[in-house]
Amino acid sequence: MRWTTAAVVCIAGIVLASGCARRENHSTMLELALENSPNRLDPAFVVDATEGEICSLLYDGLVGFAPDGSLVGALARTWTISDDGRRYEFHLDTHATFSNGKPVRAADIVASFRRVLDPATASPRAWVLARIHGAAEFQAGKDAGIAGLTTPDDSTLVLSLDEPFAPFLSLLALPAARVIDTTTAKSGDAPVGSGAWQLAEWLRSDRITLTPNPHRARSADGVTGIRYRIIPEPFTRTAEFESGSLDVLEIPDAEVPRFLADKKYKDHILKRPELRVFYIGLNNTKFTDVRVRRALNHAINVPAIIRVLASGEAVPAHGSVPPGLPGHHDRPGYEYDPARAKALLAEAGYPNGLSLEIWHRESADGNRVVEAVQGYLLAAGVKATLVTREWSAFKEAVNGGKVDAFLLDWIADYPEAENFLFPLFDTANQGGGGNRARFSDADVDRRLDDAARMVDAGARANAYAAIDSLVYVHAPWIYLYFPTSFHAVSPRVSGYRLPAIYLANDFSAVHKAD
Amino acid sequence: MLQYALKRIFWFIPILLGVATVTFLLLYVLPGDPVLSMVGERYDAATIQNLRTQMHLDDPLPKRYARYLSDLAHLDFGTSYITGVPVWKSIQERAPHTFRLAVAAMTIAVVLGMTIGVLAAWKRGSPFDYLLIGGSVVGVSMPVFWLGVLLIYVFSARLGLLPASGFGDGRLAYLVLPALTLSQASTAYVARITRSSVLDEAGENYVKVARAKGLSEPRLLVRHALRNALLPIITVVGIDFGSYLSGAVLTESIFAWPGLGRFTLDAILKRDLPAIQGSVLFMAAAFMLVNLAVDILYARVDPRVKLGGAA
Repeated sequence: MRWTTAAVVCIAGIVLASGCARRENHSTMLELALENSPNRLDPAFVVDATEGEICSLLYDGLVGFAPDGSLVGALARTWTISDDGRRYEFHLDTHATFSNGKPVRAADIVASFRRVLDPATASPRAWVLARIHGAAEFQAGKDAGIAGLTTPDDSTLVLSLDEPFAPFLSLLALPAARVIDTTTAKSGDAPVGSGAWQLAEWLRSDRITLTPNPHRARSADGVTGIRYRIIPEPFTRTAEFESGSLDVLEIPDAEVPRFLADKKYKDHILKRPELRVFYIGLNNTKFTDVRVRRALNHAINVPAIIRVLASGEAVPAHGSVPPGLPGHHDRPGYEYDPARAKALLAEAGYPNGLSLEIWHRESADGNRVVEAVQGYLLAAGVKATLVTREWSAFKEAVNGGKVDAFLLDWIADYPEAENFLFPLFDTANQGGGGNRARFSDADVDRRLDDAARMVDAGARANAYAAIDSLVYVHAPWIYLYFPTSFHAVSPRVSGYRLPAIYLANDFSAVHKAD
Repeated sequence: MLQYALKRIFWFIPILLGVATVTFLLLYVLPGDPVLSMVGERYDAATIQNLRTQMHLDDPLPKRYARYLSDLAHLDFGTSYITGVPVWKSIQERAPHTFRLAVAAMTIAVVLGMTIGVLAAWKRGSPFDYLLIGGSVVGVSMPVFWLGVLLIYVFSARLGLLPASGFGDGRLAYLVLPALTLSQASTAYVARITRSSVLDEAGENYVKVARAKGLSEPRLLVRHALRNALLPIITVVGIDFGSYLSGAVLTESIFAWPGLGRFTLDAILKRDLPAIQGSVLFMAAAFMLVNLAVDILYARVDPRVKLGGAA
């Protein structure tokens, strides 16, 4: 019996001791969660939204995004652009300081850009800066410097482009164009930056802690830091939020109705229409008949999918440019009409329907969508086989054009219609460039080229809206929807807001009550 | 004993070489490209080519294999393609967490499992016995992710007694739920093995003699029968412990525990070849060391086991 007693006492002891020792969450840090650990926090290597969000807190660029998605000065206080749209002159904030105390000079910006462009760095994002005049010569080793980057003095930077490119300022706000103290760059580590926050601790697979950049003015009663915890399972993140250990939770799709109905949370939920589009890409080199592609669009009841799987809060995509971006246009869509779908298929030579494979990667939310699509297609006589692959194998097959159709999404890195239409539909971007549907149309290519050169914002928006309409008629995808995300915020936290784009997070106005 | 251990350790080298070769070849034929995990969703062909050249991915297979072996010979596990961090450093960061979780889970399995087993043997045939054995069947069959989710729901989300995930500041509280979850199948198995081994021994003459001398039943079972029933228990514990050291992917994912299992899974998903090769080798070595320890323990527990002859 002594054994049992000992075991019971032991277990009870552990539970009690841990129970008593707990509830330390009186921290004045903002506690957030990430699904995946960022691979890199070095701006030259940042490629996804998670890395980008943290990167934008650690590093400043010449310009950055305000919470509404508009461009604002960061390291550059003011700038002028020449009439031909090729020469940019930036006047720097002379008070900007790296978190190690060194002032940020124009030469630091040149050094940071040079590092990204240098083939020896092997940055996957060199394309962001490749439009700078002389970048190609520098990369090819023909020139030791970059002709289009000059620094008349410590606080002025002059940048020239090979040809005008209207969204270029937005590119300068991307992670790859953020400025670091290049003397601190080291493989696998986060270099020193001049952003509002600095990296205090990075335990890979566990947490990342940021503390304020001591050389930047900040509100005295703001949060004392930001702690990102890496929690892969949505269920665990939800439990951590409900037990008070997390301050903000991006609510998993399946949990949204429960949170919205819960008295405790319903007044603390923020929602954001995402600059993101969900679609099923069709392999346009395989489905060459536009009638087939249109038929597939008519076969799917997107509003019903939104109602059931997205809490009724997404917008059906009748184009690829999301609402909220200049260039979005609410044109009439392909209506849900299975009879029409069948008729179009018969017209195209498939009176008995057809079979295709839809590839997708394993994800709870994605699985539900693709299964719904499969059901609708079957009703229209199209037998879809679902093929699940993990991300790496999925990407290799899809980028290589080896699959019939695939479920994917595209999220804006910068709030411009160009960031959707050019990568997704330009012939030059077929495959890994973003155009995974392998759509190709000479007229669209030419118009994309012209639109990127338009300096006038209104004319540019109209041009992109017209291109989106043109592409939509070709139906290169099964267009699904623009999602809305829901975030529950702890009642202890005030001043938390969701910026239009992930690169615009700053958290400097966030307060946390004890 | 020492000679035996050294001999076994010497054999580790060809085995590890075999493991390294098989892993290398498997990764070579696996679909998926590590470069695609490095470039994000928008890239051009030149970027891909530059990266492939830098990482020697376009070299012929024999050349890559030779380079890999030569690095290994210098005890260099390489640098992760994806994070840019040396693989050995990443393993060093995560191995202590894995070890901690494995030791905790094994301790629970041994203490709880043996207690249940002995109690069931003592009260054999009683409703208590059936309850314990029935419970252990449930324990063996219960999926880890289900138990993990249940424990988080009850102890964290509802009662707020224990933290749901992470290792926090390293306090014991963070270890309780993951260790309980991980130990569940072993606990149930140890309980069953203990019960049947103790019952086997209880029929032996020496136990009958002890009983005739008037020893109380619990004392008899623990002091005499259990001691001799230890061998099969050690076997089970040894194998389970070895597999826990290779990382417990499900438990680590549910509880966001920063151990080797998640590290390896992540590396596999991103085709981070150096990280996969490094962690597989590390796990193989850990498994072999645990097996060696178990064999040595056999000899300690049972004087009839002679080590030299077995090797």
